[in-house]
Amino acid sequence: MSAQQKSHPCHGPWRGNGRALPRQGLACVTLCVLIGAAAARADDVPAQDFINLSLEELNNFRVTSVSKKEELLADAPASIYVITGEAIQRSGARSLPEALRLAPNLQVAQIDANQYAISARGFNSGTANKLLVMIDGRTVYTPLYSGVFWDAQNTMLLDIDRIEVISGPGGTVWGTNAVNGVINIITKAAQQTEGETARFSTDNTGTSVEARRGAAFDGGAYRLYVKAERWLQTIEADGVASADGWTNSQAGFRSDWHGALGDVSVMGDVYQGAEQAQSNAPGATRIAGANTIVRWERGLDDGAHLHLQTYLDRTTRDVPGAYVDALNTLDLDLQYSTAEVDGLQSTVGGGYRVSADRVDSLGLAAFLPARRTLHWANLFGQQERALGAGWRLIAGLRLESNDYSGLDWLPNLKLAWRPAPERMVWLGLARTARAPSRLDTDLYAPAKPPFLIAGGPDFRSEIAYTLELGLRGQAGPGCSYSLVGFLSRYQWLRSLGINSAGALILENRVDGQVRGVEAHASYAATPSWSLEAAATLLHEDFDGPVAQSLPGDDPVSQLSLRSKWQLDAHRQLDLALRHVGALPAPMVSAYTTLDLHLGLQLSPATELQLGASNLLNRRHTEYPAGAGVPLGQSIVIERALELTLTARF
Amino acid sequence: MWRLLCCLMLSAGSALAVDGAPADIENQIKASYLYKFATYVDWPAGDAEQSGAPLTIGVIGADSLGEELKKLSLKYAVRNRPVQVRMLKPGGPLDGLQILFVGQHADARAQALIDSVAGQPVLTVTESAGMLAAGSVINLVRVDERIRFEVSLSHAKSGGLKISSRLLDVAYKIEGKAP
Repeated sequence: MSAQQKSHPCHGPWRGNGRALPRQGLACVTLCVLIGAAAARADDVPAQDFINLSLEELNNFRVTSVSKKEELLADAPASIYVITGEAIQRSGARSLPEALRLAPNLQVAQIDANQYAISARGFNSGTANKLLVMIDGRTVYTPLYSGVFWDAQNTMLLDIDRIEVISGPGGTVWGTNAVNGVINIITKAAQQTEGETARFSTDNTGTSVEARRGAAFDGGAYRLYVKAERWLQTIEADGVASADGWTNSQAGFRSDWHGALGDVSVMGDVYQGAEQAQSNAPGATRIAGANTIVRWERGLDDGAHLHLQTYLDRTTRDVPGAYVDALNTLDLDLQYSTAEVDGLQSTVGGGYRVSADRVDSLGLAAFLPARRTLHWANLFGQQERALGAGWRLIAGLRLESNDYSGLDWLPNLKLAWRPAPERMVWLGLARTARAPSRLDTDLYAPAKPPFLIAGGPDFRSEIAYTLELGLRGQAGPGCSYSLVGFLSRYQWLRSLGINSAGALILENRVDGQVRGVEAHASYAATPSWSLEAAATLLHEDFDGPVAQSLPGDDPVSQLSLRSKWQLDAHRQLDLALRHVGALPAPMVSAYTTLDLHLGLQLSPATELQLGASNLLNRRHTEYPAGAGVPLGQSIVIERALELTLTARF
Repeated sequence: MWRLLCCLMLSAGSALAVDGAPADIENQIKASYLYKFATYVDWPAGDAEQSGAPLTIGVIGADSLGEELKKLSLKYAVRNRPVQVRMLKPGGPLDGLQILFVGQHADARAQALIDSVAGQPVLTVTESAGMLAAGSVINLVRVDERIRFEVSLSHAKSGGLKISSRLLDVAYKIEGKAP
């Protein structure tokens, strides 16, 4: 967990219940053959070919090696994958969910033009609730269902430094809801984004325009950005156009400077969006919001480090015929880390968050009471101790309170052994919790008694105990690998029951066991060609009243193979092959896709990217429209051509 | 499932077999830059150059870059002068260098190192933000995933170094330029 502390502190949000994903099995032979071919190629290319590049070519060559921060992460005993900003650019992704497809330890499935099901280690659904998502340390979940409204989460993709994806428990450092994973979206410091950049991007799913201006001032730098996007409506499997087209626009800023008392970062965004009305809705869904973050970091004389962050966030969502939700959140965080002295390093911290929301019901169901003010408070401590002979022990505990279920304790214990500098074996044991949300406790239907659905009066936190065993290392100069096996036992998962008055209520009567493997290997065959292969396998068992619906709709397997090839100083060719297994219930077939991207440096200041995606099939479905809804109404993802033009001024 | 696992293991294994595949692009680019700098910088005329004596690059705080430079020096010369790479030790002598590269692992000592060759015809090159202010002549910086460089003309001048306009044309920033 050390790397997680180093990058950002933070705590807990949540998400909802849900639906599914795809998967299935791809020819592992292909994988082996391709990697073998890569190995064979290594000696063809002389190591010294950079020396023959011109000054301009050197100046323009994108560096694909791991950054310092990634090296730090490589030290952390956890299942971590880092999506670099460069990888996002090369993938042609136009949205955060599309960029998240790059992480092999996540399951990402598109539900329609504006909804995604995103999870780690199972439990995936449109309201998945066991993954914590943060943008620059700001938790982006809604306390409505402990999940993320992905249509409201955006940033300038060019300004993303990296996305750290941690699958597995992160409760001690990140808080409740970091049950199955943490996604940390980190934007670049303003010092790294000087100058003006504009980008235009279009494909079969819509068009994006974004522009940024950055400049330095005495002691620091700032940037401003604006972006606007249009997403076309998708097509359902039965050929009918789905009423899900939408537009959104966003503007924001970030400034970083070295103050007399420490480093300060201030950032913020405003956004709004409009989503086409569904056929049975009286009008278009409107979303809007604004947020601002202030962060202060200071290195102390004894090598210790102090980190203080606060943010304010307002988000609104007006769904005609259903509900109007307005949510305001204030969050404060403090973290203090000591320097490592005699093999001992400690981190302590605390946080407090308060949110006030108002959900006005316009339809059959209602959140009662309509207004709620919720409080969360936490304290945590973690210590890392070098035991000698390459062994390290990390032990930590967090106590976090919430208004529904009281206090959750979130401990974790890790043992790491480094038999050689380039190899690490680690073992982890953790208890994590998913705190109740308004969906779990406050949902009533109809809006007035007598109720057919009567909330979850005794709903308590869902608990997970997770055991992980990991192996990570370097095999030769260009090859790194990571293999993680995990076993999680879940208690008190959400279930549907009946109270004495005969109404449906939400209870915690499902137990479960999920086990799986996350494997990943990357190999730089030559300075200009690298390959990455990954496999994720998952097996879920549940006990209890799960007949109505499983807690998630997850693929047993997910495989990917990516090739990144720098043809010369001006051209890159990337290939991505992805296979996602079938979803069990509701059932969705497995699919395999191939994406191709060509990047062309037209001039030192202009880049053109051409892409073709989903090449292997005319169309595929990634996620069912819903339980009991005919599969024909699920949307299909079709072949697409993409064009992106980026200009720096 | 097991078959898959085996495959991944196998692929890791096959990668192992390809020892020597260069992975560290960043160091290769930086090493190539140092060669370019040597080509586009003029040292004050002296005996060394005329006699075809080696051009000596001292490297501290950047072991992998040093290894990369050594590989290059076996094959490539600069303006007909063979290149010699010296891995420097903290506190060791700095005499006889044409280029001094202070890597980021030596950032803490960078100021002292640069000061000790100040006023001498030594091209100091660094690789961390703000190092130009510490006195280096050229600083390599990372901008938008690319390695670029900034140049201090005033520091070059105090060491009697002349930097060609060809190099300045490509520089990310130039400090001390006449208005």
